[in-house]
Amino acid sequence: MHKNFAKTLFLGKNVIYLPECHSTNELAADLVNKQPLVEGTVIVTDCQTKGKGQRGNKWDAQPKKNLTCTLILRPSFLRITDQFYMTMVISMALSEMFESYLPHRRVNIKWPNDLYVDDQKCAGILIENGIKANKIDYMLVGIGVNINQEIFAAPNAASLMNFLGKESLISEVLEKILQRIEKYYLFLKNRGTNKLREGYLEKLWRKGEWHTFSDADGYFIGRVLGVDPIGRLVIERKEGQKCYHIKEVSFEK
Amino acid sequence: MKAKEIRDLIDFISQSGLEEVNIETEEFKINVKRSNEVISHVQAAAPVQAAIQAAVPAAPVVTTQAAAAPATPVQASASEDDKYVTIKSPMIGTFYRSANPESDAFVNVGDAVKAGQAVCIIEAMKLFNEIESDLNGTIVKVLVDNAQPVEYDQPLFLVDPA
Repeated sequence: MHKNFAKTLFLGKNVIYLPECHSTNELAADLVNKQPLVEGTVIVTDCQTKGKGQRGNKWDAQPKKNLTCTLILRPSFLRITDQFYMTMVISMALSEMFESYLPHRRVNIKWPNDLYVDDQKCAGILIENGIKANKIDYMLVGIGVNINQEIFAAPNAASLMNFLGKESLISEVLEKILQRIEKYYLFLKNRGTNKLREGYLEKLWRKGEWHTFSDADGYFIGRVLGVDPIGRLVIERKEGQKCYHIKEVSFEK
Repeated sequence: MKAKEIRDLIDFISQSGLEEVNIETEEFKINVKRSNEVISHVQAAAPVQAAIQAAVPAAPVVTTQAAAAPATPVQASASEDDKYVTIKSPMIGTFYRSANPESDAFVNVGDAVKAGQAVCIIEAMKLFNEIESDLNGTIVKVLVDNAQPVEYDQPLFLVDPA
């Protein structure tokens, strides 16, 4: 299936393709600890038997219908405390890929790293870093994109197929993603952090709109202003601004 | 106060360069003085005294006065903490002891660790960071509970270096 991607400089030049595997992130973690892998190596599978989501959550994707892959990066230039920029790189690349297929749909990034098309989740990211001597030794970027699957168990999930009404080539989706990740990754490497941040904020789901949220104290009305340097969500409330970590706040209807 | 704890305390003081140390709590009073001339005298139960003398032949002066209150366990002495090395958090985030909620902890107290071995995960904004030990040794203490927030530079593990 995928051998090489011609339109990139280093991403996807080395592709490990497996018809089936437990989880591409798990496999990548095993491999980086055993052998020196070239930066930009991509592991792709048609069928993940134990797809991983955030901490114990599963990523369910029908075999051969979706993209499930992991990229291996070594952003040695990136400080640990700046790693949220990589979330921006990957989510920006994914949103541009969706826009290239669906120019008339609303594509957003739901903080911090889910991809929404018309308020429905179409892709997810799972980034796992290896930290050695207070530096990022390797970064495993797991990406799941719903492409040709038509029916989902989750109520707010959808695929490209649901919007396009026809199938897309998985390899083409991957190629589009790799090109865009590479673009933003090199951008970050060349200290284009401000532009990256602006782009991310522009795409942020529900930014600037008043909505109901909930936190430990209950429901409240607020609006998303942006994210702070470490990636916390900044929400404006009646009583002033507040920064939230993951799990400290939920979006309500 | 246990004999071993007193011994450790003396070790610590003898290595510290301090001349004299007085510690007083509700339960006990201890006075350690660096001197080669004075023979140690301890106002405490005899077995304790014996243990101290056995442990420190060229001993500093030790004076202990057992208080009336019943003895409660004393916290680990400073000398023990001193020889240990801490593994600190390189970032702000949430501390996890295992790779997944259903899997075993990376390390437990008493486990040997090697440099390069994963000891925990720190999660920040859905970025998961597997933290490696940078030394060989034995885990003496896990200083943070699972799923608790941690600050930058916060000690996570106490390691007895090999």
